[in-house]
Amino acid sequence: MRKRIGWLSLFLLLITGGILSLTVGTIPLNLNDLLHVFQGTATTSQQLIVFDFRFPRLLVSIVAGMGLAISGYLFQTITHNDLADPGILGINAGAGLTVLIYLGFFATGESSWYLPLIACGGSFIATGLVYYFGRQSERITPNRLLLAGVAVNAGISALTLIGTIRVSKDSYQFVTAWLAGTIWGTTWQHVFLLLPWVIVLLPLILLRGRSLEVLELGDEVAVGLGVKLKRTQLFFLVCAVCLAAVSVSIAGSISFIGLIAPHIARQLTGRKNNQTLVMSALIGGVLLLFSDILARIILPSGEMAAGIIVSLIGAPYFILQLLKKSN
Amino acid sequence: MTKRNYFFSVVFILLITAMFLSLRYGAVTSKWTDVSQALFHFDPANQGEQLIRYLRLPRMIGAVLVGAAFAISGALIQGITSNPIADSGLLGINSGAGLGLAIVFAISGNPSPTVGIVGSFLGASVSIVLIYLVSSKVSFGLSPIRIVLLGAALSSFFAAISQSISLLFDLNQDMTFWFVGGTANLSWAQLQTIYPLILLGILGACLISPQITLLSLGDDTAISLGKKPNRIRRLSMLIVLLLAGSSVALVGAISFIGLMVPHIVRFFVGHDYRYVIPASGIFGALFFVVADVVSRLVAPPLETPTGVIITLIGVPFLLLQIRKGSL
Amino acid sequence: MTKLNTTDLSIGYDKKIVVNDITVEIPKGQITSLIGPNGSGKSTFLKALAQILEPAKGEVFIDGENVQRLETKAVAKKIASLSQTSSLISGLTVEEIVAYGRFPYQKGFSGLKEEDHRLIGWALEATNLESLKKRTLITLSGGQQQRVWIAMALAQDTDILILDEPITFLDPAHQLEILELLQEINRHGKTILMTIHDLNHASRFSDYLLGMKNGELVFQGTPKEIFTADKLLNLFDIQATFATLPNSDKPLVIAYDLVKEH
Repeated sequence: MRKRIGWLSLFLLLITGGILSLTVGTIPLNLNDLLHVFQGTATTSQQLIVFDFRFPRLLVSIVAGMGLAISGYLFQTITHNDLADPGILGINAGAGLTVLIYLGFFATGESSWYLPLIACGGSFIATGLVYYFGRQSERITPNRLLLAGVAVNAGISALTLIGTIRVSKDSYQFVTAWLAGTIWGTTWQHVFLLLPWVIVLLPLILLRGRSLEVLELGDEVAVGLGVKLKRTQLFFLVCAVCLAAVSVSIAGSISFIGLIAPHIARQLTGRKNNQTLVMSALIGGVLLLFSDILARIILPSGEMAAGIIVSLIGAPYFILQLLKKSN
Repeated sequence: MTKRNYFFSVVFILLITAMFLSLRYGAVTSKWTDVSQALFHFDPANQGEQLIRYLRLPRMIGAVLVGAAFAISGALIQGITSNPIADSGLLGINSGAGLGLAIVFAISGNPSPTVGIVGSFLGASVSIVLIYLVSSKVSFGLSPIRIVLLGAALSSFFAAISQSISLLFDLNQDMTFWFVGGTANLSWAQLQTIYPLILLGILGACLISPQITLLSLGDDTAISLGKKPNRIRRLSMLIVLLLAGSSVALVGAISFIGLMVPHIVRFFVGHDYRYVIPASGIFGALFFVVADVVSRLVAPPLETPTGVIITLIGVPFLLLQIRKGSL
Repeated sequence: MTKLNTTDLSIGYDKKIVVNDITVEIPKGQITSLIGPNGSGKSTFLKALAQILEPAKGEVFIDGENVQRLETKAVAKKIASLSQTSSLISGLTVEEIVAYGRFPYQKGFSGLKEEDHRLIGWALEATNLESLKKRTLITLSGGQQQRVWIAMALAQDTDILILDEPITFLDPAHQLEILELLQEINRHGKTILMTIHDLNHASRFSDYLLGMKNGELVFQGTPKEIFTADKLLNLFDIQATFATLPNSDKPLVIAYDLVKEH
């Protein structure tokens, strides 16, 4: 029953969020205007705002939220640790540092086409480092991986912080905004950079959904039931990293979604794998969508970073969960 | 036994040496005569002596105090959480303090040291309370990795808020410089306000150290020996607050000292906290003073923040330990 | 009936050899118990048989084929294993856990078929869990939880069952419960291999014994052959006194002493 309410509310939230996202902003539109826009009978500036700015932004926030949520779900399952968040593996930090280096020393112009790709590359390098240090004779030992992640993260963050001192003021502003999680990638180009990943990877993951479920029983039990442990872990890990890296490279450094979306989903659906996964994705999308909307309206002028809103909601929720757990 | 005494004497001598060296070396290499004059027969008109007395001396003393403080707080946290990978930075205490300071900066452009300390303290205490609450809920049986993940979550949470404050109030890059950790802006005024707190903390830590050793035997054992584990923990957290809070107020958020120093020190003096704590104190002081000198020598006349140097040493150290499997 | 044997099997962790050069065939259709002192490599040996660990040297053969070369799912259809540590799940029901035993047979998106349901039902019945099937794992007693894992192994419909210390943490009544269940399962034709600490349980409930010490197989045989003073002295460094259970030829160890250091 809970489940059904969950799906229904998510669906409703998505629609509401979508509409809000399209109507809210520095130039507010009302529903009527919106209808006109879709009918093609609104003013050109209104068309522009909706189709060139808000619509892609809407899609980016939903898809990036989904990517991060799925990634978090996968990480938590592989590491058998429900406190794992993709950011832990250095994805956010790696992307941030690379963005900083690129902007600070090589180019200017935040709307550079290359930026997401570069950010992604940085994520992979960081994750590679974490994997290298956290690996133990070919098996993925969860605790070590997480520890290595924390270390690499700390190191990269420190370097990034240093870097921000040395760069120009503009770059500093941009990188700080990126680090705070401002959804900056808001053109259709960015949507098309992001979308294919989720569209391709999600079905692949769902196909292997049962393996994921069995993994949750424990590594040894999984092997006993016939799961190819190394290969399966690696597959899910790579998917998780890819999804998180692209999401972060386009939407900015956002934490907590990968952490709490799976939690909430699990509370609603129990552990029926594929359902929980899809629900996590939707929750992630809704979370980021609404955080972005809030971020746009919460200040009298200018925007706040969506990532901050997510943190402000996410961290207390997370801490409350920890406090409640009697383990 | 001899290893221990050997350790203390050697480190002590190194510390004194380092202290003198830090007075002599920097962007400008001072003459030994200037140094001794500045210390014992100060002539206010002499520029060389001024440099030493007004700039380097407070930095050196600050470095000694802060190095000891961070190291000891790390040892304390490790002791009471039975967690070898605890450190005030990793657990979000530093970021909490940093956030408190950011708020203070935002409210009053260039705050006096006292105001800065208050902000730093409040911020640090929020983190400490949270960590204490969460871990005590499961009677500190929380696995080390979970506490670290919690700390990472708290860190990113506070960092997010700090970032947004920084963006909103247009705090310039100087604040970031401060964040990253260094003695560059250390003045006598700040030192005078804060040194009693640090000394008090160090004293407290040394006094409580035998109880910490008892704790490490396990709560049940400690209770059967007549101790109250939770009271010991609360007191220790208070001391950590004193130490970490004031240190962050002085030099910014520096991580890893609290993590590395106790580890290294344990290798020489064993696991009895009656020795680990004082040893961490002087080794931490040595470490920080040396790092501080290095920070001035790396790329003169620019200063590389001490925090960077320490992180650049700390992270590889941590990663190697993880890879070796000793963490 | 599936044949399980090893040749020259050696297993190590991080360059340290824990199991050394074992060649043995596990008797088909019988209950075999693995006994030996702590640290003798028993668990490690079992893990290699259950494809959890890779051998450093030597091979494990299932029906003549090298386990390393077989598909993991194929192995899972022939061997079901129970490890010591399986405490990760909180909210799953008995029924759901037992259903996972069908994993090696499931493909793609398909759900449970009729055949799967039949086997799950049978497994639940055989382990007397029918009435408990909707309960969650943590609400059950130790003995009941162990039965759930055995039921899952049964649902896997394999010829061989490998159990690592299945009764070590259970109280006497629950221990017997499990051992009798295993006997019942064996009567249905399954081969059972397990590690066990209690010597008398080993004698009473096994058809065959393997004795391991310091990573080597020091002897194998029926309980009657193995339970002699010098063999147990060799294995455990204990001086044992024997008797026989009434109406059976299974020997009992009724007392033992530590061998004094000389």
